[in-house]
Amino acid sequence: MAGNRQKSPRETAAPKPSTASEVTNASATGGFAPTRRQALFGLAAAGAATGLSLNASREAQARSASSAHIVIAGAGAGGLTAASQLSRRMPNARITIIDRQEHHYFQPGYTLIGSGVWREGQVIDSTERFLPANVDWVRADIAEFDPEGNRVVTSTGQDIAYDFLIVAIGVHLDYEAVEGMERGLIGSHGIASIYAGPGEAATSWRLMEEFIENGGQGHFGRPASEMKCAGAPLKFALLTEDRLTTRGRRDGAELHYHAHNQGLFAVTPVNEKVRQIFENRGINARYEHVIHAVDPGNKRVTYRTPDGLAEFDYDFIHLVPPMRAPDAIVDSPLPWQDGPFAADSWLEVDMHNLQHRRYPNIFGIGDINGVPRGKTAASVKWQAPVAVTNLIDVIEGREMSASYNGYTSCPLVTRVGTAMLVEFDYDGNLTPSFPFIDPLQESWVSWVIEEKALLPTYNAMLRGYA
Amino acid sequence: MQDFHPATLFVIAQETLGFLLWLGIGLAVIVLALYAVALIRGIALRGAPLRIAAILGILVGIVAMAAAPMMTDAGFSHLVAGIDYVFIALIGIGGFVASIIALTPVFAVFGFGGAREERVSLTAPAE
Repeated sequence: MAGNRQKSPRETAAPKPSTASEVTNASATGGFAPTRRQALFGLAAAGAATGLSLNASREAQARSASSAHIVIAGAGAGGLTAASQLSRRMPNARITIIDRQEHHYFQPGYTLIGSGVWREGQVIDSTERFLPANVDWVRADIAEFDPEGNRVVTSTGQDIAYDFLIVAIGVHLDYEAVEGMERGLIGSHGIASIYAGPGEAATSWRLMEEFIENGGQGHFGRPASEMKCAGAPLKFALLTEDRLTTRGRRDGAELHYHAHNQGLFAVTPVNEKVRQIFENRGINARYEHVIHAVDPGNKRVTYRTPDGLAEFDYDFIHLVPPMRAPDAIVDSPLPWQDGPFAADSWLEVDMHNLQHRRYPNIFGIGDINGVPRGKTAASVKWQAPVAVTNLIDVIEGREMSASYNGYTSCPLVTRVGTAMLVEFDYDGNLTPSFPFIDPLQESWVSWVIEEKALLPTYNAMLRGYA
Repeated sequence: MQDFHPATLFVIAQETLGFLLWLGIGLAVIVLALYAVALIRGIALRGAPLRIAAILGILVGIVAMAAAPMMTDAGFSHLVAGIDYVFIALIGIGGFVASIIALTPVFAVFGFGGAREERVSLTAPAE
C-alpha cells in the first residue's frame, strides 16, 4: 500500500563517510597493525562504504527538478515500473497513473498455473501496493488519446491534460478474431487458454487434467499477430507432454503444435533446440498453420495454411488469441500508419529510444510498443529505465542518452523441473545475464529462476528496482 | 542492469522471504552479539563447540541438498546440467558454513560441548 511504503535502504542510510577504497587504503598505509577488534570494525565499515558508493552510482542516474505533469496510461508492469522510477527521479513532478484495475497480475506465472504448479492466488497482488505515495491514481480506463491537445479522456469522462505522456496500456486479447471463439468458452469444450487471466489459467489446468485422463488429440499453437511472451505456447505444449509422461498416460495422446510460419521460435539456435526437443518427445510440429476457426460443439478446429483451410478434430486445445492494440489506441493518431506494426495498431515509437516518432512528449513501454520483439515482463525491465531516462533528458533539454537493444527474456520451461534461460536482443543474439548458464541447455537452475526468483524480481522491478 | 545492486538485492530478498527476512536479520544480529560476547569475555571459538557445530553443519548441508529440488516442485531426476550439480553442491556448502557460523558462538557462549577456556594473561608474573 502506498501509505505503508517502507523506506528504501538508500533513504534510511547515514551520510556516506568515505569510499571503500579510502577505507582500505587508510588501513593499509596507516602505519599501525590493527587489533582483531579494529580489524572487525574496519571490515564492517568497508562493507557499508561499498554499499553506499554503489548507491551513489545509482543516484548518478538522470534526475530532474521539473514540476511537469506526467501522465502514465496503464498500471501494468510498464506503468507501475515507470511510476516508481519517475517518483524517485522527479520528486517535484506531478505524476498521474490511469488504470481501472485494482488487482495486479503477475502474467509470467500463468503458465505455471495452467500446468498445475502454482495456485491461482500466487499471481494476484494489489495495484496499490506498488504505487509510490506521490503518484495520483485515477481509477478508470483510457477512452481517448488526444496527442494534439496533450490530453486524455477517461472512461468516466475525466479530461486530463499532460505535459508528457507514457503509454503502457498493454494489448487487447482478440479472442473474437477466431471464428466461433469467445472468451467465455474457455474452460468448456476442451478449450484452454492461459492468456486470459489467472482464473482461465486455473481452468486450463483442470482441462489439461481431463485430457491426461482421457487422452486424444491435443492442439497447441500461436497466432500470426505480434504477441506477448511468444514462448508460452511452446511451454504449455511441453508441460502438457511432461504431465502426460509423468502420469504414465503419454501413449493415449497425440500432441500437435501449429506454428504460424516456418519456425517454432524467432531466434535461430533456440528454434533448432526446440525442434529437437519436440522431435525427441513426439510433439508433431505443423508449420504455417494459423488458427482460423473453432467449432466447440463438434470439437473441430480450422487452420489457415498456404494450401487453404485445414480442419482437424481436437480433444484439448490451448488457444492463444490474436493480439492487437486496445481500442483507445486504435482510434487515436498514435499507432503506426504503415509498415509491419500498422495492421494491429501498435504504438509508433522509435525502437531504440522508445519516444513516439511524431509526438516527442510521448513515450511507450511494454506490450503496446510497435517494435520487433519486446513483449515480455523482462523487456519492461529494460524498456522502463530507457523511456524514463530519455523522458527526463527531453524535459531537461538534453540529447536522449538511453537506448533499448530489444532485450527479451523467455525462461523456456521444458518440464516441471527444467527450463532454458533464453535471453536475446533485436538482432537475435543470445544475451545471457549469467555466463555460467548455457541458454540452450535444459537445467534445473533455470527452472529455479523461473519458479522461485522471477516473481520477487518482478515485484522489485515494480517498486522501481532491478 | 541493477539486479546485483545491494538495494535491489535487499528488495528482492524482502519480496522473496516476507517477514522471514526480518526474522533472519534478527537471528543474524543475535549471532553477531554472541560473537561480540565471546570476543569480550575471551571465550575461545574452537574445540568442542566448533566440532559440534561442524557435525550439525554436515547434517544441515545434506538435508538442504536433499530438500532443495523438492522445494522447487522438482526432483533429483531434473538435475540434468553440470551447473545443476554445482548449484546443489553450493547449497550444501552454504548450509554447512552457515551452520558453523551461527552455531559455534551459541555453543561456546552457553557452554555446550565443553568447559569455557580461561583467558590467559601474557603479562602475569612468572612463578
